[in-house]
Amino acid sequence: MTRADFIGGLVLSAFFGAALWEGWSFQYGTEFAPGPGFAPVWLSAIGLCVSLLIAAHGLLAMRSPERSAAAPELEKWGLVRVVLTLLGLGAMIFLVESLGLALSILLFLLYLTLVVQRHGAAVGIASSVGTVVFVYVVFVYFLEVPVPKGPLGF
Amino acid sequence: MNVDHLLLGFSLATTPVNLLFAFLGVLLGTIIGALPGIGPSAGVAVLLPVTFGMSPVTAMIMLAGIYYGAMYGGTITSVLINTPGESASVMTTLDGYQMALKGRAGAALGMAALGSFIAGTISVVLLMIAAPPLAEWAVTFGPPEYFALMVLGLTTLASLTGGSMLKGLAMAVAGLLLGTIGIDLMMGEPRYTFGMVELYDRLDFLPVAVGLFAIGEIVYNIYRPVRVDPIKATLSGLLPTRQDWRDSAGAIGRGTAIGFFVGVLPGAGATLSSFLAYATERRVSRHPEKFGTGVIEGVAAPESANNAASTGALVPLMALGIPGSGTTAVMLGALTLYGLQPGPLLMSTNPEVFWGLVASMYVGNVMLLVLNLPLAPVFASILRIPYSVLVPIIIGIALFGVYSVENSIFNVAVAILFGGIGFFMRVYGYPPAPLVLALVLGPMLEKALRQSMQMSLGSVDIFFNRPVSAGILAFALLALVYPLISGMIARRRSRAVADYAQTPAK
Repeated sequence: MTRADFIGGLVLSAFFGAALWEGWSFQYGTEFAPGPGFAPVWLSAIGLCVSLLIAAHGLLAMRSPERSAAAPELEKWGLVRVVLTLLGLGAMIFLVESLGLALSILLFLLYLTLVVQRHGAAVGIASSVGTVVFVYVVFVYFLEVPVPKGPLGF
Repeated sequence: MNVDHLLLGFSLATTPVNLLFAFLGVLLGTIIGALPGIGPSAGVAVLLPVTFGMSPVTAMIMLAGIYYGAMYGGTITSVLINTPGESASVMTTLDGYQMALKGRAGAALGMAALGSFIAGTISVVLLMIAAPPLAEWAVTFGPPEYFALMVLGLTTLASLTGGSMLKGLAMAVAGLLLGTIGIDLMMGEPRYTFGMVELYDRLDFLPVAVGLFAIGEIVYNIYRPVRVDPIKATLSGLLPTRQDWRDSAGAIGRGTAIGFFVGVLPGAGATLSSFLAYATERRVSRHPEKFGTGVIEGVAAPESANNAASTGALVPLMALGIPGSGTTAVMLGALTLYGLQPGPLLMSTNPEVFWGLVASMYVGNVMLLVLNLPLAPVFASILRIPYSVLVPIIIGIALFGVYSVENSIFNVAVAILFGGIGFFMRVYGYPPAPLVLALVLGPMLEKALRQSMQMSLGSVDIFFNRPVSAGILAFALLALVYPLISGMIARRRSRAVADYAQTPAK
């Protein structure tokens, strides 16, 4: 339990707090039984207590130099790769409508292997194209899943 | 147990199609288990959509094959690179890797395969004996007993999941809360939908499971790439010597018993069983000091235990419809996706699913043995493929698979969102299994709670007046309180030892 836990506890508290706020707007109970709001309210309240406890433990641990030193620190370049990957995944979602699912995933995988992971062109292209061809054959031809198609017809 | 049912199971399990998918399941499971960074939960979640065109029996046979195949696959990395392929193989690294350093990698892998086979086969017999009467008894359960059982499953998983119990609990509560999303089935009121039509029919478990287990793990590996450097071990001599058998026989027996019974407990699972089996073996050994230096019983015990536990975990899943781990939670979700109603009635309404699965596990264990003894060097060579090359393959299958569940891009976006959340959970030690289990159980738990309170006209006494539900809830409380108390005692004891050490000698 460290500074990261203190912040993590606060983030979770915000999540459960917001859920509690929203949960109050649901009908709490009927005459003899819990209503749609019963579980959301109680779960949010319990979650809020547990996450505040996590934050409190983190706060206490920040005073202990040994435990603070053992806290995981995010590596800068690793985090850059993660952000680039998640941004790429987000962009892929927006491209599906215009380019189709297969082409969007192919572009994402090329971006992932060549830009984020910095593979050589041969490895990056082979693994990306190979993956998309394989999953397209399995899902579209064998399992007959209808996928959004792009301008190239797949 | 009805012999006709078992014969029905074998007639289904030995059809060419089911044999093929059992083989594919154990093969893929072994590969998934061998790859560090992707465990059985991720494997089952990612490959679940591939089973949609199959009959439920074939699909469950394949998914179970992946599950117990992964248990063995984890051994290969434990022995050859000192890194467990999945958490249940952690204990195998202690002696397995030491054996490999001494040139006995083949013996370690061979004994693990044979121990897993023996444990797997015995525990299938135990599954066959235990599950039907349990299901028959559970038919008499009402909503309060079901509510209590689900609470027990969640609390034990949250407290035994390793790391901070508070974090496990927070994840379980978050999963339950996410399970309330959608239109309330009793009153028709939308909850946490924020006007999004896609959320009216609940948040699907599969995108969340794939996001947390697979994409989150892959993103973590992009953040901190896995460097696999297998030792140049000779894999000859896979068949154990007579002395190896003498040393391991007891370990396999004890590991099987511990593994099966721990596996049956909701929430405990394969990882805990392998820890307990290793600790027990060390305690009963005549030379406990040699553990950790490469003794074969240090491999046989945890490997037998984790394989038996994966079969034991199917008892509550098949008999009660209550999963005890992340992987069995995904399998429960799979049952519902195939249009089956998990629970004690499954065995009477769809006997072919349970008995087909049981029979296939006998066959699957033989396949696993036949596959693993001669092909251990081939699986070991998979470790030489750079993990980063496998990343696009896993992500590609995961994204297509999530889309195919409901042909929904929204589901793909959910998987990506939970992939990002899963990455931060991985970094900061928040376990994903309680969240996924709670998401699957959440709607059932809420339904059982509301039905119970309708029965009691709004009083919570109903949970404590009925002996079975009261007993189960007492166990759930114990599961929560025990780690706290034992932690406090351990801290007090270590403080006392430290104080004693600082006291100047008179």
